[in-house]
Amino acid sequence: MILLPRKRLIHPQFRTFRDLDEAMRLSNPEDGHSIDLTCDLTVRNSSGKIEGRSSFRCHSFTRQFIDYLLVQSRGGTASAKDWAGNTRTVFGWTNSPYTSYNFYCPGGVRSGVTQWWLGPVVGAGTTAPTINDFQMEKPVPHGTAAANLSAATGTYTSRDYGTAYGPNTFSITHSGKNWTSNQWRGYLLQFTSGAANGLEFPIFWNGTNAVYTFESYGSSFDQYPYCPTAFPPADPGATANYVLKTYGQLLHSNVAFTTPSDDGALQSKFSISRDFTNNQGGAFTISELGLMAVLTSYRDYPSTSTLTWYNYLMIRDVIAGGVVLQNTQVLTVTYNIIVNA
Amino acid sequence: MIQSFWEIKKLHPLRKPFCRAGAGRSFVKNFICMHYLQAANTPSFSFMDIGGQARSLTSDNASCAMNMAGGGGRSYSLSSYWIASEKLGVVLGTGTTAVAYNNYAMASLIAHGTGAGQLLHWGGLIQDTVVSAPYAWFDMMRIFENQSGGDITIKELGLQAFLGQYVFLICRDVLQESDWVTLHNTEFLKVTYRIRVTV
Repeated sequence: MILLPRKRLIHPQFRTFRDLDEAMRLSNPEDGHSIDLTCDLTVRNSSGKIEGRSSFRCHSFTRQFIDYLLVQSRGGTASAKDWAGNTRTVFGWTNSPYTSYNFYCPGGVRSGVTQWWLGPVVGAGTTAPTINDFQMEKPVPHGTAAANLSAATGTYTSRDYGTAYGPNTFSITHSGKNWTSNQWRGYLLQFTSGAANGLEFPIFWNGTNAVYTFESYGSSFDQYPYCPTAFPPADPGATANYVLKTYGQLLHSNVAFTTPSDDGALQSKFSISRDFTNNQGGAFTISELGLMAVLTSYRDYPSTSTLTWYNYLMIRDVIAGGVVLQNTQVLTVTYNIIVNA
Repeated sequence: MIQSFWEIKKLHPLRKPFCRAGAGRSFVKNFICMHYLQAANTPSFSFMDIGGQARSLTSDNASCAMNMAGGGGRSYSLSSYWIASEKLGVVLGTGTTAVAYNNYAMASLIAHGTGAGQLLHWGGLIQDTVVSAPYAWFDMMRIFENQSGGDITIKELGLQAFLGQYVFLICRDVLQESDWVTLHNTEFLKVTYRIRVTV
């Protein structure tokens, strides 16, 4: 059952924001919301029969969402951290036809590439959300692999590609995993030797975590992933071994939207939803939910004016106890964005 | 969860500042429509501008920039149309009609000017994001000056934005009577909206 917003907050007179903030801290945190976010979870079996359902009010817009609202409101630029941890200059509007790609999240099959990372996403992390979260703790990408620690092993050989391809780019030799870049995105790399032993990070592709440039580069960067954060103080050194790992994978459907609707009185909303199918062969627990979207940037701003689009985590929620998805079951995640006049 | 707050400060060089603040509750359906356009990349969607005209828009002109260059100035829209600046950002009114989801205009908008019932709309300001866990917010503010020769009582607040060449009301708050603010001739008023997310 969706928690309906409470009636209009009746408040005493407050003199300033500071007085009001203090009063709001002491009041029910469910009161006083302007824009509400709820999440509906539905589990179905492979025949489509509903086997479980729940809803809850979310509290987990990240600061990237307020950055988005800011640039939309003001135009010009703001700084926002993308899903790889890079601080980007984002634009509310530019003198181009591409302005629309802010808060863009219709993930799905586009030009043959499944953009599983746009729209609702899920994970296996359990750490409580913070306002500064910029990526899922344990992302669950598109695929059918079960959680494992050694999808492949290999040897890291150098990090000399920084000048040519950007900071923290390095080369690896991978053991027979001649994957496309999109397949590589489904895994994390963890060093298993050297000074950085234990360091783990999602695999991103230098210059290719922008939606469109990714497709144009194709798989030519397969052997050049980069670490989203600086290696020091855990520089892996000249060579090191690594494993490719995953926290588990689920099949991601296209993202569906409902057009804005209202109740004829005070409430208006639209919804963003996606199905996640478990084809791992066994049960899998989802404990983390999120929403990823695109914001518009100039690459390497202000030195270049090439428009590009990076991905940002707008929402992250953790579900206490998680949702156990049996093999072949489907979880539908629906985020409802609601305003109350 | 996103919260909005408003703060009104009456400024006069010889008098003690008068302040009021409250929790805003009244983003209207137009706000949802704008963000739907952005998220879904839909080819076309229609909603009401402040003149009550249904305007069909695409994602390509869905940025809701609220340039507030100051009353009498003009802001340049993405679609190459000039918009009177006083129409964008924080606006005020004297209406008391309850807010409804489909409000597309202030009940009684206070116009820019020095005539009876009008206020000079000074330049506005939208500040950078502030992060102080568990919150992140930004402030949108504008200063108004009463040179109308008489008193004006503020009873409603709002936010207006432009998409394409049109102006849309996205938020409207009606003040309780105890929060009404009467601005005397020659007085200044600073109105701030704070948009805040809480993790």
